[in-house]
Amino acid sequence: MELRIEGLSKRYPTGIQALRDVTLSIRPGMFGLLGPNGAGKSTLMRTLATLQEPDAGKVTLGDIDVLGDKDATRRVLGYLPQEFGVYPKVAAEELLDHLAALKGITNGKERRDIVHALLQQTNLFDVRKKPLGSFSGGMKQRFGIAQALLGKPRLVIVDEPTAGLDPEERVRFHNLLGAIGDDVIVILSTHIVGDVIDLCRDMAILHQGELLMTGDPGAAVAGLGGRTWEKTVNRDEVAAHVAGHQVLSTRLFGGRTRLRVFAEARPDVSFEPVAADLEDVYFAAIKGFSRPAAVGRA
Amino acid sequence: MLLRIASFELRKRLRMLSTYVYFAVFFGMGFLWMAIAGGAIPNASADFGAGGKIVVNAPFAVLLLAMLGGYFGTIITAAIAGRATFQDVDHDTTAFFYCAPISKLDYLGGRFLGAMGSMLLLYPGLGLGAWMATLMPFIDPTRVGPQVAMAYVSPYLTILLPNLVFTTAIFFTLATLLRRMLPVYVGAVVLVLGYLIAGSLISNIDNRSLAALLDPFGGGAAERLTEYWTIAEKNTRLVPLAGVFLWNRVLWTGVGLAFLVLTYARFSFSAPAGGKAKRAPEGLVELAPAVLPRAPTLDYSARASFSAFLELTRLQLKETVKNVFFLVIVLAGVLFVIVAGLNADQLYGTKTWPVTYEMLEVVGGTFSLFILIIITFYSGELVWRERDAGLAPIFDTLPIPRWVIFASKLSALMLVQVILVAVLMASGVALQAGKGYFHFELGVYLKTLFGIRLITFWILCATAMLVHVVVNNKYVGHFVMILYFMVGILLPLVGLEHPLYRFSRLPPWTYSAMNGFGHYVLPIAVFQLYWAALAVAFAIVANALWVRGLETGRKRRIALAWATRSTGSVAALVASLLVFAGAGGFIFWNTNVLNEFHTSHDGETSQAFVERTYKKWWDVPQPGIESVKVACDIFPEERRVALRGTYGLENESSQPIAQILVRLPRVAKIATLSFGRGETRSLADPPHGFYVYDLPTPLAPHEKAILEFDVGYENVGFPASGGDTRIVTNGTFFNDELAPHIGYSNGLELEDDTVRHKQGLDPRRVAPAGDPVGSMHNYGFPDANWMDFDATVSTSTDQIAIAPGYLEREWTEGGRRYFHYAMDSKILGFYSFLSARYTVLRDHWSPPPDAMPGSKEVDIEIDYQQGHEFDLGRMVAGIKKSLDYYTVKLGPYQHHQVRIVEFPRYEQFAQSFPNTIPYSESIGFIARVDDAKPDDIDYPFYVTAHEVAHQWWAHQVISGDVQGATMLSESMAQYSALMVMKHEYGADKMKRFLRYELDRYLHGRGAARRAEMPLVRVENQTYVHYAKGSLAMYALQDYIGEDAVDAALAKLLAKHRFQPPPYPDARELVADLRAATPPEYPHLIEDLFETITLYENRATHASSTHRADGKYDVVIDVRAKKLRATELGGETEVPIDDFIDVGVVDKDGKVLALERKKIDAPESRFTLTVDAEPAKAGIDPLNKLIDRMPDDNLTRVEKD
Repeated sequence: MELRIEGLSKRYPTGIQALRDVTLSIRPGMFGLLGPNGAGKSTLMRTLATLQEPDAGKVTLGDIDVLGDKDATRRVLGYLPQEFGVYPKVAAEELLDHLAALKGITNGKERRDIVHALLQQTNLFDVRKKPLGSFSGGMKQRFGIAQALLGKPRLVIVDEPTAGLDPEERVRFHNLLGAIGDDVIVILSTHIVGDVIDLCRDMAILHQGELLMTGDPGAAVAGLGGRTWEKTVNRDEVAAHVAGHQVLSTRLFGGRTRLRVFAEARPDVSFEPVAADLEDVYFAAIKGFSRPAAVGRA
Repeated sequence: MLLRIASFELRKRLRMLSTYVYFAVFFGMGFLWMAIAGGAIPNASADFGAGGKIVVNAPFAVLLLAMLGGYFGTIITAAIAGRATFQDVDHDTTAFFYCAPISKLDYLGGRFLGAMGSMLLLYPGLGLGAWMATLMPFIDPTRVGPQVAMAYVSPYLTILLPNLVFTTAIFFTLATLLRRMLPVYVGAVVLVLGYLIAGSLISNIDNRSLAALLDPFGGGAAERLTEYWTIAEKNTRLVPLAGVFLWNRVLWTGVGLAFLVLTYARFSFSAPAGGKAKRAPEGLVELAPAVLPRAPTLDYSARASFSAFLELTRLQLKETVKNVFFLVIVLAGVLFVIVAGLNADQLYGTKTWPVTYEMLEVVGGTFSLFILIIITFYSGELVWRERDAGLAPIFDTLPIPRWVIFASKLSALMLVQVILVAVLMASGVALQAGKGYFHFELGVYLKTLFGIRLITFWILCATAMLVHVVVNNKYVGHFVMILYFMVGILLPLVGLEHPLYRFSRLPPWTYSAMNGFGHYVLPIAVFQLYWAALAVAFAIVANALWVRGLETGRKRRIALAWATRSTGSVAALVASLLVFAGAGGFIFWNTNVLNEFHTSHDGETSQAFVERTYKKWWDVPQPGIESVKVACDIFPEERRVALRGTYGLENESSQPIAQILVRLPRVAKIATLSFGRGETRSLADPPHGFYVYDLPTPLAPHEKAILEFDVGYENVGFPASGGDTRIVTNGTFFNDELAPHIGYSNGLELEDDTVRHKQGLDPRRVAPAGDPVGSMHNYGFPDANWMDFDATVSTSTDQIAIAPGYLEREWTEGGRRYFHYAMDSKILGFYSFLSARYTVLRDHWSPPPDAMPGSKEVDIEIDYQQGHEFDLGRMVAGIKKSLDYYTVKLGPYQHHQVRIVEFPRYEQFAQSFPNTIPYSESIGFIARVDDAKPDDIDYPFYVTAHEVAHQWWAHQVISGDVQGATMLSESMAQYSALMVMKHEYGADKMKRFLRYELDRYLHGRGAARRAEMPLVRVENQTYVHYAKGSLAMYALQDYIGEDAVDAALAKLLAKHRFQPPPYPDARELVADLRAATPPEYPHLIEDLFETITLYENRATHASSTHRADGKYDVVIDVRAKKLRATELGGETEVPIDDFIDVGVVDKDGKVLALERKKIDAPESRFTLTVDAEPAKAGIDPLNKLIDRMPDDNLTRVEKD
């Protein structure tokens, strides 16, 4: 089973080109889709989740034509949208049970079992009788993943699931995602590089609707090998450095600014070599410094 | 800051397209209203209740427009005012404002003013549109009066502005405090019900002030204030903010302000979620074991889809119903049924038995507006539920077919209707039981509510779903639905009357206790099928266009709908459209091929054509009908009648007659029309039913002839009107209108001056008394003078057939039942045929010893519908007391039988034929008179007395076809009945009856469509000959004594009984009454009968002194004014020189003193001495005189 996306394009009536000829294939396992806000991640996710129509392109999941046979797609889909609401007065268990029934789990006992298991799994069992309106952000997000895992999903799409979660909740959430079987395609869309590092064996970077790279995060980091440098400067020196170098990122550190730059060779002695990480890959990609040769287009 | 916020809101509103759409709608409404009322649309005729003599831009007419605009605008107010603060909740912008350094007053006040300001800017569209329309060239200039700017400004200030304060405040409060829109809609529904409830109260005079106060929109109060306004006043006077209108405005503006105070007090700048729900405690921090549950069995079969459908329907219904708002709506509906039901169908303030069809009528009519609003709002809620909750992205990716989602929502909406209808039925039954009526006709309830109304509601459900799905904007969707409703009202006003294009409507139908649903079953069923098929198509289309996911563009949705079509849905769509077309074709075949279709304007045009073409025959001598011998075969099951017979004719003129004009209903199937004189037909005009025969040998003066005729009537299929109600399965009733008539009749002419003007005819004037042609024809039945009558009527074996005359023989032959009726004395050319499954009650009356010579024993018979036994005793008593009074005071009764015959409530009247009185089942047969209640008027008794009196007034003495004719028949019958009632129930009860007559008269003249005439010249105006006739005659007998009046009437009757042409007229009656009036009342006859005289009597002050001997001296200051009115109500004062009652009453209203005083100055003072403690005193306390302010005649007595 493989999810194949070919030549997907989408332009909104406002003129924004959300997706530009995106071609990608995703194997079972956790796949990270990385990109800044507005990169087109959600458009891609929503298209895969049957909620939107592309202008052009083709998507297949195994032998399912995702765009044409939405009903078949929905049967194997688990979707946690970036933003969603709930009926505030309905209890968690009741809504989950209702959604389970609609997901096709018609056997009452099985449904109760899976609802209970998922509530336990997401640590919501104790509050299952409470109205959803009283849930905190993290609890609501866990409820979201619980409903996404109802049934037998073979494609799980989680769109920006950890945005706004505190570190503890984020860990808890990663753990949940990690528990999804290896035979399921899980697409995690995020702008947080750490999410991908923690969870994904495969990834892609999307920027302004275009796919900048795909591949194994490790290989991608290795691809930058020896081309990342770091320097700590005073704040008033930042502007000059940004103008003169391919700056990957700037970060305040003890009141001064730590710059990371991309360069084939050490720019000057004030720069120290540093080991590249995925964040550097990400910034290098979206800032167009490099097209890591190690990873070709899939 | 407050104003800055308000102006920001206003500017934002001005940038929105919807603002301009709303303005355009208001403008269009005002423009259309004026254009239609002003006669711009040639084949439409409407005046929106302003009345034909009231110019379209009269202050009163503009006020009515503002009232309508106010009702309609409430929906827009709800949207705008509701969103004033809810927009922040909706768009998650609360944080910006709640945390901003602004005070609560700034925020709330600014938003409130912004919303109200928006509406204030929208409403002028109404007046502007109306004003522009009056300037258009297509407006009939005679319908436009002088332009008065204040006419437009004043309703804006008195109606719309206070309404806005009130409604904006309510909606603003609901949305602000509850942070939801649904309560706003519920508030709108409850407001509409408040208006409906107020409207249901006004049939009882005692409730009117309450009803006026209760109408939150002020319309009822303005109507109450102007109820007795004359046409002249309505045309020129601004409706002042005074009296009950002022109180109404103060009350509801105050309620609005109270709501605002409440909002200010209760509102707090805190996040919406934090307020109510308590945070659920956080679960354990330790991580759960990362094991996912075993994969369950998944079922995507059709069965599973169906159970998903059931599951979703259940949830959708539960979410809709299980909340306080739905409960409020249901309770409001129940409240409406109870209030309206308690006041249903009153006549003279007296109730009827709460029969099932009356309970059902309460929930028909205006109540459907309530249902429509519920359907509109809840369909919006259902369509938007997941999106509003934010659950849509999850919900839309569920592996369920789209139809499951759509169908579950539609089903939930339809189930809501089932619940509502069941609640209505339960309320109806409970109300009946509460009123002590236990004959629950559950079948009628079920058929009407579930068989007819529910299906219509369901059709509306599918439509509302389609609108909301297509429009895909909740607020615009609501607006479109309201527009749909308005268009439904407008269509017939612009001449589009055919039910085929009046969506979801049925042709008119009536349930009758006698005839059940009768012949309406087929048209109802076919129309329901027709609209239901369209609704199914709507549902299929709505399902296909259902928004699932984020693609909301029109093109994408259509493309998606097409791409995802299933053979089944396409086939179902085609099938439903085929059924729709088929049913429509069948309807068209019935209404336009088997039957003729005419709009009301077509009817008017046809009447005008007849008048123009055939009026000339009025002056052409025609033979009179001397005898009628007729065989009438009624086939109730087939709804068919055959009329065969012979007229004996005579040339009663002094000239030979060479041409005879015969007229028949245009639907008559003519087999034979023959004079047997070798005549030729020189003109045949079947579309109007006129035929002219040329006689080879003219009919010489006094020569006799015969007319043989054989005509038939049948009902095939059904017409757009729902069907003829004369020939029906049980309860056939028709009169001589189906038989041939000779010559022209003035009764064929259009009466409404506005309509006549539109048709290019001059205002209609009845010939003055003494007119040489008019005096030779009796009023109403011009082609026969006093004639012989003999009828053989046949019907089905289970029915009894009745015609005037006495039953000579009854037999059965060939499976049919025959009745031969013969009349022993001459009658007018006015006879009827009835047939139904009657139960018969028989009684007998013997003349009292002092009855006038010639009085005979009289058989009494009532032919009635089994189950309608309630009032038979009152009717029999009415007949007996009437005969007692009339045979003693007026003269002998010419027949020896009085027969009351019930007919279905398709028509609501009783009518007197010779010895036979057909009486509608809704008038008197279900009256519930409580003799213990001092206010109840025994109207079965009264109506019976009136109809029996017609055996004298009309059937013995009838006026020529000239002005004043109906004074001689209707006013006299009314007076005679009043006297019978006075003797039976006492003079005290008469006061209440006369109060209704005064109301009817003053209302009638304010809405008159023709010039008002004094009684002696009345031109068949009911408010004059009934209502004013009662008042004038009652006052006359109060002044000169009952005996003097009766003696004058007896003299008149003796002189003119069965008088052949020339006929007498009202002048002779008035002369006799004048002769009977003593000289101390020199103006009385002139005031009562010959002019339109009104009084403005008022008590200005009264005080009492308790005397040493225990009595009280009451000093009363009164003001008296006497006015003479022109035909449009313009008044001039005339000097007063009259005898008027001055009186004192105690706290229970009992008269302590009543003295007739000569009043010849505008202000006078009188002192009366009474034995008990006085409470009120004043002038004309019993309202014997016509006074437009009858309630200020008494004032409270102050103690010295």
